[in-house]
Amino acid sequence: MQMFSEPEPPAESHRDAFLGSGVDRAISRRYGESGAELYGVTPERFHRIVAGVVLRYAADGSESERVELVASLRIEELVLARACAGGNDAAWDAFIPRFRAALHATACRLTRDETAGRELADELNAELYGIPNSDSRRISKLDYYMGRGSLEGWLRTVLTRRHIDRCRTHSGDVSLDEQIDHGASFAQSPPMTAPVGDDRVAIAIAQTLAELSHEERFLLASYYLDQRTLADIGRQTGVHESTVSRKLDRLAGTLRKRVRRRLQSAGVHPRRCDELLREIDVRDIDVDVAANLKQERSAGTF
Amino acid sequence: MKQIESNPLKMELARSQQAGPHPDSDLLTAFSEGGLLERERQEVFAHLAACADCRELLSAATGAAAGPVTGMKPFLLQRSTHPPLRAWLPWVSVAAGILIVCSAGLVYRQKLELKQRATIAQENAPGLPSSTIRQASPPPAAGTPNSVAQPSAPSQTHSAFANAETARALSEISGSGVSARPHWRIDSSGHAERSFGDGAWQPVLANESARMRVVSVFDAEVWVGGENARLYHSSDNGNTWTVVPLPMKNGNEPIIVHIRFKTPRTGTVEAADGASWTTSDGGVNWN
Repeated sequence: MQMFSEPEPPAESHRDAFLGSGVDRAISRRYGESGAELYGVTPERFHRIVAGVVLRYAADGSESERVELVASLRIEELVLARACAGGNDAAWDAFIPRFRAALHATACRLTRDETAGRELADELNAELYGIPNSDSRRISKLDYYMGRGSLEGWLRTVLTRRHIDRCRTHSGDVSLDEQIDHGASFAQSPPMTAPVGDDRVAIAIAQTLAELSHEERFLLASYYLDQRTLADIGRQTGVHESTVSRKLDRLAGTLRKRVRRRLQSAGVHPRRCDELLREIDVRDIDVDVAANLKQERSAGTF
Repeated sequence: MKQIESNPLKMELARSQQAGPHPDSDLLTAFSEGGLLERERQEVFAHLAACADCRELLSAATGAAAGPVTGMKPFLLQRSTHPPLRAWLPWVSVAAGILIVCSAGLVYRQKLELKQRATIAQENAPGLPSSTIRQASPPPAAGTPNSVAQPSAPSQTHSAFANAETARALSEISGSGVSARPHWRIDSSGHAERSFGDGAWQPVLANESARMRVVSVFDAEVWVGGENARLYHSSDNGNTWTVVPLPMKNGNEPIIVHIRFKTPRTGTVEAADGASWTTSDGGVNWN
């Protein structure tokens, strides 16, 4: 029933997995700052843990990219999470005071109810501690943490995924995984209705959107489709809301200019171009943005 | 927003398939924290641009990062038993304002009262209104005088003690450094005058036309005597006065020239012609 499914935890790489000598040295350099010794994590196991992360995210990357990846890891929190998943008491003694209260507060913010928040946090806490599988082996959710972002941020994202799934379940919506299980994935793509207004405008908008970068399309989708606030978008992208505002203003101007140029290239008289663009309400542009964004779901897998 | 899909559920499914697999929680977290490699960042941007679900997840996760716990039922929150200080500030300001106004009012009223009392004292001192002059009961038959007073006008005598309240009132009005003990004198024109040590002499018994010749002070008891057998007595440092009639002797109006009191109640009044009167009850009866 879950909409979002976590990937399988990567098996820790073997020591002899070839990552490149530079990567090995980068991993060895980070052992000292990881605090692995506090939790009884040997250098060999530490290497396997980090190598597993490298193989997961940069299996096809260059050696320099791998070294950069190793350098960017939250290594202390990664070791702590893996030590907790391994049942190390000292690690849990360090984990609980650092993250438990924050987890509960986040759950309360999400659910807006202390009882529901506590229930949500307790569920995740149980999974973090580990649930025995069919082999009576305890599997901890912390095995999924890869150290790419902060551990607190990762816990918050996991909690949010769980909360969204619960909301969908309680509201009667069908999760996407369930739809796929029922064979919906074999359905044909639904036919698109005709764009509103002049076809030439719609075509020009579609072509212009196709030229935009991923970031620009994300901004358009977040602002016009999802109607997120500037502050919200700023939080997601790690920039100030004024920066988002400037980008959106510049983007709107660029869109209008490019669409006008395309219309003129298609043989539309400049005066008619102005009339057509004047007729386009912002809401109509939003519809076209939505349509074109949805037609361009060719994001690569990663 | 207008919908262009004929079947939203199928469109959503198609959208999900086209968007590809969702980035894991690590990538989304690192994306919002700026911890991704540039290649990964662009890949996440590409996915987010096409995936409303991940945009919703990212928005909710980042929104829950540091925002306040909103919408929670009040009884579930462990609220402080006291409202925050900022909520009290307006009331504290109002209370402070009221306190200041009340204090100023009290100070002003106190000063006004002191001023009124001082004014009354000053009004009583210069001129003796008829209403404040009490006619003493006539003394019994006069006895033989046993002493004669020496003329001493204009003379100045000093009081042993002062009316503390009046002196304090005048002192507060006119400023510090003013003595609380009144001083007395008879000026060259025969008027009795009083001063509180600030150099200003105020006439008392201003309505009296007869020349005064002598003043005697014992504690708060003040005696003033002069021509035409005028004898005045004040028991409050000169604020109020009483005319004291003396029994006639020698058939003429004596000129009182000497007043001596050994105690507040026992004293002798002597006239210029040698007549004298003694009292042992504070001037009620004279012999």
